[in-house]
Amino acid sequence: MDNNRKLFEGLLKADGIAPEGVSESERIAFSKMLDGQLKPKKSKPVHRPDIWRKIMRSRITRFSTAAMVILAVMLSIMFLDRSVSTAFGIERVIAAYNKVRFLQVRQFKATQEEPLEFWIKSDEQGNITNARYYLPEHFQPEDGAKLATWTPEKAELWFKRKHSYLIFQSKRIEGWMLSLLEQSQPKLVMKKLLENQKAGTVEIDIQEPQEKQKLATITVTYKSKPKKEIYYINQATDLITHIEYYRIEKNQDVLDLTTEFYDYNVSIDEKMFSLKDEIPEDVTVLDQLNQLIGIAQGEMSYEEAAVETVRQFFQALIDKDYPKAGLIFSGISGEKTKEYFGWLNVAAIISVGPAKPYPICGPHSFSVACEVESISGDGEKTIRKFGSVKARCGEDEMHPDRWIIHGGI
Amino acid sequence: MDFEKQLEKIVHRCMDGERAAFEELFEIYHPRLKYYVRRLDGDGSKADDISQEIWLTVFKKIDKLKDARSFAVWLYRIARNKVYDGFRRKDRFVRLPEEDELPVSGNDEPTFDANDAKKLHRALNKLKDHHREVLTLCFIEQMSYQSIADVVDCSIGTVRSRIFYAKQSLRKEMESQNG
Repeated sequence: MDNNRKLFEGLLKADGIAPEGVSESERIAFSKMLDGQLKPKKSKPVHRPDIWRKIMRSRITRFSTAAMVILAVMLSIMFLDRSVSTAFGIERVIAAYNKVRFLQVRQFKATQEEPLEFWIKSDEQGNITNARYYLPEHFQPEDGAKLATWTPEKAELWFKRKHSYLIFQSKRIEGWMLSLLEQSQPKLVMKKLLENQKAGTVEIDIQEPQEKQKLATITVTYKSKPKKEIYYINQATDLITHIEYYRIEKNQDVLDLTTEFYDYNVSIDEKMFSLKDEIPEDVTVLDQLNQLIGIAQGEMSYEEAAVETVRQFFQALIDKDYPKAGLIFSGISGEKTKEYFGWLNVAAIISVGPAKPYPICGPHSFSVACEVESISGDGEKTIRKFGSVKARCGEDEMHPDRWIIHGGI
Repeated sequence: MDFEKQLEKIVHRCMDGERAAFEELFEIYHPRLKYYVRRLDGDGSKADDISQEIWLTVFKKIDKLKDARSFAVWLYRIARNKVYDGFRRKDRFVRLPEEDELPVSGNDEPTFDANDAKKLHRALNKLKDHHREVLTLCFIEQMSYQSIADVVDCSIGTVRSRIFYAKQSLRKEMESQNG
């Protein structure tokens, strides 16, 4: 037997695990799990976050929601009853959205089971005023699943796996968040389509079945790109039920994405647009909105500022000034800073720098190497090397001239 | 037939929903997966529950696996996420990337004799979390640096330096055990 195999077996045995095969009890447990899973699957109920269930448990909310459902039905009747009808097409669909204030969206990638979800509230002009997002792990595996809320004044992000909660207002992230919504807000999608139609970049085929209970379809084929979209529209309301996005490979349509729209004009409780009542108490809060974070750049060059940021962070740890260290470390609290870094017991800075550009995290992001001396509980001195502490400032952020250490989120 | 080819076939059969294939996969991977989960999960008390969750996810999502050859990486990524989800490892968020991507020569990397497995196991438990993790994948799966990087979600350079320093720490720890 080769050394690797023997080593593998030896390690498992040392941990009380039989390297070959599994125990009878484990086999039985697995078999039971398979029994449960191999039964015919029932259709799954639609996922809603816990907060939704909590809100819906409230009698007041149930009553108001019921009222909104009635309102939505009335709106549908108004749509049905309209005596003046414009020609069916993109403009009519866009017009129908003028009356939509609330909707829920689910976006399914063809290769993934769990959808991205959005709850959207718009004003009378159709501008998005509030949004909530659920972004599953597959969307950005390095971050894990995220919940987010957005208003023009404040954005919140809860990184579930990383157990951290970010409060901020950032044009860069705001742009990213709104671009996600633009792909999901039907009125914007249809306006974009209308632009494409006018520019002659797409071919459009509209099918409006005589039976009004059937969905109408708008099939869009791009002239210079191998892609196609099919919009399914409820003829009674002129509102989109879902959109399918295809890529064309070897003359075959391959489904990439489906976006589904639900709960038109069903009121969404304001609580859904803030995460503060949902996050666990012990979550790490990074408040970049209500406090001045980081250090000022002043007259320093970018490289000098990056090095100085890291130096001041470790100096604050030496001084046991955890609130200051926390403000430099992305804005976490002094208490959390002590919990996370107190054990390091930094006694001295041996070297900091140089700063190397780290553009993946922004145009003014740097990686800084440093060495510090730390003292263990029994008084032993240790040299600790940190190969790559990330420091950055962001011109488009809330505090454009402030430098912080970031990482881990 | 070599192990990789055999595994690929089993995974394909699982994708087709064949019960016996899932059982075969479980027989092969459960012991080593349990070892890995115990190394990540501090005291190992939740390892059985986590393992069950991992297999449930494997069962539910295996049809989404794009390449059967990457099964092991996929499996260990699920395992890792389940451990971190379950325990919300706070220190993961803030621990600075100590020793990340430091250049290493690789020539003086220690090797380990299988006859020392017991000592090795004890010493492994005393390493830093991120060192223990990469070495566990290295020892029990003989994973390539690229695959380990895919599992732990960092660059191959980081894996290379982590393994280098982890092996050195392991060697020191074993020497201290010898007195």
